[in-house]
Parts: sequence; C-alpha cells; structure tokens
Amino acid sequence: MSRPTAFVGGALGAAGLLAALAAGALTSGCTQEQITRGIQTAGKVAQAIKPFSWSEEKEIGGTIAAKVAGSNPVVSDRRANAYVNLVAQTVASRSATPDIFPRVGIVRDEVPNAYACPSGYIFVTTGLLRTCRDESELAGVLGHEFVHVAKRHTTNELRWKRGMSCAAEEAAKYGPGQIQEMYPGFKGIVDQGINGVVNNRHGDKAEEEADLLGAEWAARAGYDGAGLGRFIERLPGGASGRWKEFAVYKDGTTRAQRIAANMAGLKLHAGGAANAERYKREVAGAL
Amino acid sequence: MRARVIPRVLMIAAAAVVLAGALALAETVYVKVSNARVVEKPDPYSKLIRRLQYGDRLERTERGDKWDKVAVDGATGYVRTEDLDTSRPKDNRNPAWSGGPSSSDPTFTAGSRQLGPLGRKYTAEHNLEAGRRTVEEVLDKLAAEPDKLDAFQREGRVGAFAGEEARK
Repeated sequence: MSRPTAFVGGALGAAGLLAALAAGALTSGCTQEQITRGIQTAGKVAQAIKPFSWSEEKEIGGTIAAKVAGSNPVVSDRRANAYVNLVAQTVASRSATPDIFPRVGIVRDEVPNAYACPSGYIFVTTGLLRTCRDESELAGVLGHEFVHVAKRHTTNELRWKRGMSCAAEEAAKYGPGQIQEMYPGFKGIVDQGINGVVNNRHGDKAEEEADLLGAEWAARAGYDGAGLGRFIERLPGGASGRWKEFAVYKDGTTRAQRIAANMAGLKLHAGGAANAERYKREVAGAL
Repeated sequence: MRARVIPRVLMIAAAAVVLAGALALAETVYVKVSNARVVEKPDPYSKLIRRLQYGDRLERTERGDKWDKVAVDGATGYVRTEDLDTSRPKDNRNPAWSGGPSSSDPTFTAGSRQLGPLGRKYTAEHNLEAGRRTVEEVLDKLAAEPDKLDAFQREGRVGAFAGEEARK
C-alpha cells in the first residue's frame, strides 16, 4: 500500500523539482519566458505535493473508511469491537505517534487481511481474527497497520499522485515544443513518482517498515514481539497479496526472521504477554 | 527568649535550603505516551492520582530506574520513567506544524468526527451512505474510556502494567 519514494517528503520533492527544471531549462537553452513558466509550474507542483493538513487527512481517511465499511459487511458484535480497539489503543499509546487515536472495525471476510486508512481508521477481517492465535499476534498486526497510519504511507502516495496530476495539467497548457524543452528536468521527478506509485506497487520497503516498527511498538506495549512474525508465517497461500507477497526477501530471509533480527538489535526480546485465553474469549462473538 | 528564636531561624533556614535543593533538582519533562498514569507509589497497582496525556508538561523531582517522582498541578506522585522525555514532543498529526501537541481539537483523540462536505459529497455520489453512517455511528463513537483501558491493560499485563506480576 505504501511507497518508499513518498518518504522523500514535500520539501525535498519540491526542491528537487525546481532544481531539475532549472537544470533542464539551462541546458536546453530556454527563453526567459519559458524559464519563468517552468518555475511557476514547479511552484504549483510543489504546492500540490505539500503534506496534507490534519483536517485533510481526516476527510480523506474518513471517506476511504466509508468506502471500506460500505463495501463489506461490518461485524456489530460490541464485545469483539471493544476488544480489538483496546488492543489497538494499547499499542498506539506506546508508539511514536500516541496522539493519533486508532479506530478499528471488523469486516466479515474470510480472507485474512487488514486495511489502514489515513488518520487512524483500521479494519481487520474475520479471516484475520480466525488466523491469529493470541492477542500478541493481533497486537502485531494492528501495530503494522498503525505504522501505515503514523507514517502516512497512503497520504504520501496520494500527494505524489496529486503532484503528478497537477504537473500534467500544467504541461497540457504548453505547446509540443515547449513540453519537449521542459521534459528532461521534469522526467526525473515523474520517474521517481512512477517508480514509487506504479512499478513498486506493493511497497515492499514500506511494508518492511510497518513490520519492524509494528512489532517494536507491540513489544513496547508489553506484548510478545514475536507475535507478528508468527502470524505472517501462518498465513495461508490464499491470503491477500499485500500480506503474503513479501514473505521472503531477496536475500532469502523471511519477514519473521527480519522482525526477530530487528527486535534483537533493539534488545526487545520475545516473552511479553500473549494472552491467548483472553483473545479467544473476546473475539468469539465476531467469528 | 533569644535561645528559642535562634533554633527557629536555623530550622527555617534549613527548610529553605532543602526546598531550594529540591527545586534545583526539578527538571521540566513531557509525557511521550497517551494515558500516562501518575500513581501514589512507584507501583502501577497503587492509587491513581491523575492521568496525563501526550505532550503534557510536568516537573520531575527525582529520577529512578523504573519510576520518576513528579510534581504536577500541586500534586506529587510517580510516573514510569519510560513515559517521560525531556524534549517537547512534536505534533504527529500535523507534519506542517511543529508547535507541539494541542488539545484544542477534541477529535484528535476520540469522539465523533463527522465527514466534511467533500467526504459527504463523495459518499453520496458513490452510494456509500451506509458506509459513512457505519464510520460515524460505530467507529467514531469508540470513545477512549480510560477506566476500561486500565482494567484491560491490568488484566492482560500490557501498556501501563507491562511486565508487572499479576495482582488482584
């Protein structure tokens, strides 16, 4: 879901765009008017890729959440809903962004999956709850999803799309010759955006970040930090691509091994709370 | 008469020195977690004095390995060392603003948010009214209930009770 290139951030992206456009203009012998237009375009694109405000995040996140909740049956069991929210609040309270309040819903879908929407909405499927065996595994999954929220993986991607759309609109105002002149500088930015948004569509770097930080935040909240790794190892072949796709890294290590190595480096050893009995008791009404 | 006055003066002076020492040792710290608990003794099961939220400012009068002694709004108590930081935390909700957390917007934490006009227009046009109602009437109403969170964390020995022995 997330895009590593998006982490470059608005300021760096804008500076890069300006520099690239200026370099392209200078090397291709543009007129003063063309350079001015190029800089104006860069300014508009920089504005478009600026981070969203919290109000915008809430509006985008709430609308996406409405889409998820409107496309899937939402489980109404109060006890299970309260429980998954308490687990999420516990993990979030010890995260790097304890001021973002998570709101978790359960959707009826037997494929194990979870969705993170901007501003804190998270959905877990009944299939996921059925796959988890204890609270530490659920805490790890919710930690993973909360990292997507906290690190703004989705909205950073949207920012880039907005920037690209704005750039395309601006480019359409120029004649073919002028587009040709501006193109070299602009291409670098577009390549970065496409690489992040389209070619690297599963966002393996961001998923790794979500794995490592998610397990860390769960452990800092007192849970067994190995829970997320155990859950990933147990996922069936038919699980959602986003969860299953990066089961093994290019160097042959599994996601669970990468998580364990990171935890060891942080001196966060396994052995926190697992609460298997409580987990089974509290989610039973949703399954 | 004079013999009585001198010890009193000495006592007051000694008290002033002790107080000045305590004040000199105090340092300003900030809460870096949500729902931090100030308790009477360095023990999570001891009496709850008050709750603190992310970004709250207080004075630390004594440092410990696991618990720090703090003074907040005229009360003293103990907070877990790992919940405090000397740096003022940033506002994680708004990357464009680094002025620190603000409680001016109650929807930052819990409670109903209600979609604005853009979200409402989108959901109306895309036949997502049921989904919007679910978000606004179910998910947004999952208010943070600190007592419930305490009981949950205490039972499961997580959060504020992480690593503690189970006790009734």
